Amino acid sequence: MSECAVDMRGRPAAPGISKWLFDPFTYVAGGRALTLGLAAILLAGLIGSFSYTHFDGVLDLHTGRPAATWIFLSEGLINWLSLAVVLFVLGKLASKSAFRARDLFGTQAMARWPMVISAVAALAPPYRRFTAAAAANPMNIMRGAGAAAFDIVMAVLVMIVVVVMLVWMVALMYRSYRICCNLKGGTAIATFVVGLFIAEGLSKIAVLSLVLRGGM
Amino acid sequence: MRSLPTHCPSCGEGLLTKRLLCPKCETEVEGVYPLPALARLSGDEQAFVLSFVKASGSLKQMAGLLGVSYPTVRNRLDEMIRTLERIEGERERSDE
Repeated sequence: MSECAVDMRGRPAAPGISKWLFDPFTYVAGGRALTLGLAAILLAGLIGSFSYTHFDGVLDLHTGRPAATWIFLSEGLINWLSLAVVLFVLGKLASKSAFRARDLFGTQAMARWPMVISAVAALAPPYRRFTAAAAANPMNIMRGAGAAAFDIVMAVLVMIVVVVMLVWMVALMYRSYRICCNLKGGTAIATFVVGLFIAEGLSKIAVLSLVLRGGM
Repeated sequence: MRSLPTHCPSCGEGLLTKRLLCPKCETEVEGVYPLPALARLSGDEQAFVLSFVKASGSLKQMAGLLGVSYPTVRNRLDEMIRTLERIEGERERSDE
């Protein structure tokens, strides 16, 4: 098994914590991944509704805009479906292996779970005070005024957490695509990057039309 | 149990069978026989084939037995298919 070490009976070695964090799809896929992933997407949306954190694109996170709870929940689902559908089509074109849609859709949903951590991080009161101050008077923030030093430091820390979670999510999305479609090397990387760009565009359009329909 | 060497430890070329022995009457048969494709797989690969047959070819059951996901088993099977095709190709070329 190229994805994990095996013993003499062909069984994989017991997964360590790093395997579960960065390569969970060697062990989990299909319906189980879909259940966990949908729970994570909806939880991130629900937490996001408290801090007005929008996942308004496959790779986007923006805070500060109030909206109905269903919009926060729908954004996550739109992002997941946009990328999963695009990668499914690209996988069918690029892969010589027969693969199941439910594995790709399930693992792509599960790959979004770091967004729960981002949504929780965005709940931090100093970060919310900072974003509120920035929205009210961006020029003051640019000059280093308008927000307490503690709030600025905490906001920077939250932004670092958000960026790390974003990188982690993309790494998980790539692992999911690679394993589910059995693609390797340049083909896997090139088609994934193309898919990510297409899905980002599609999700932005879909989220925008959702927001317009929602009367925002 | 000692495992059957399938490739030359010196140059890496696939090995052939030269001598066979009956363990009962100790009759020896000498000649050049290629190893069957399955015998040329590594120990891990042979273990996978055995598990696959015992699971009646069910990848879902295999995934449960091995404690891995369905696509991981599917990818492993695809790798085995490619390996067996390569071995058969080598054999066909050597027969010509």
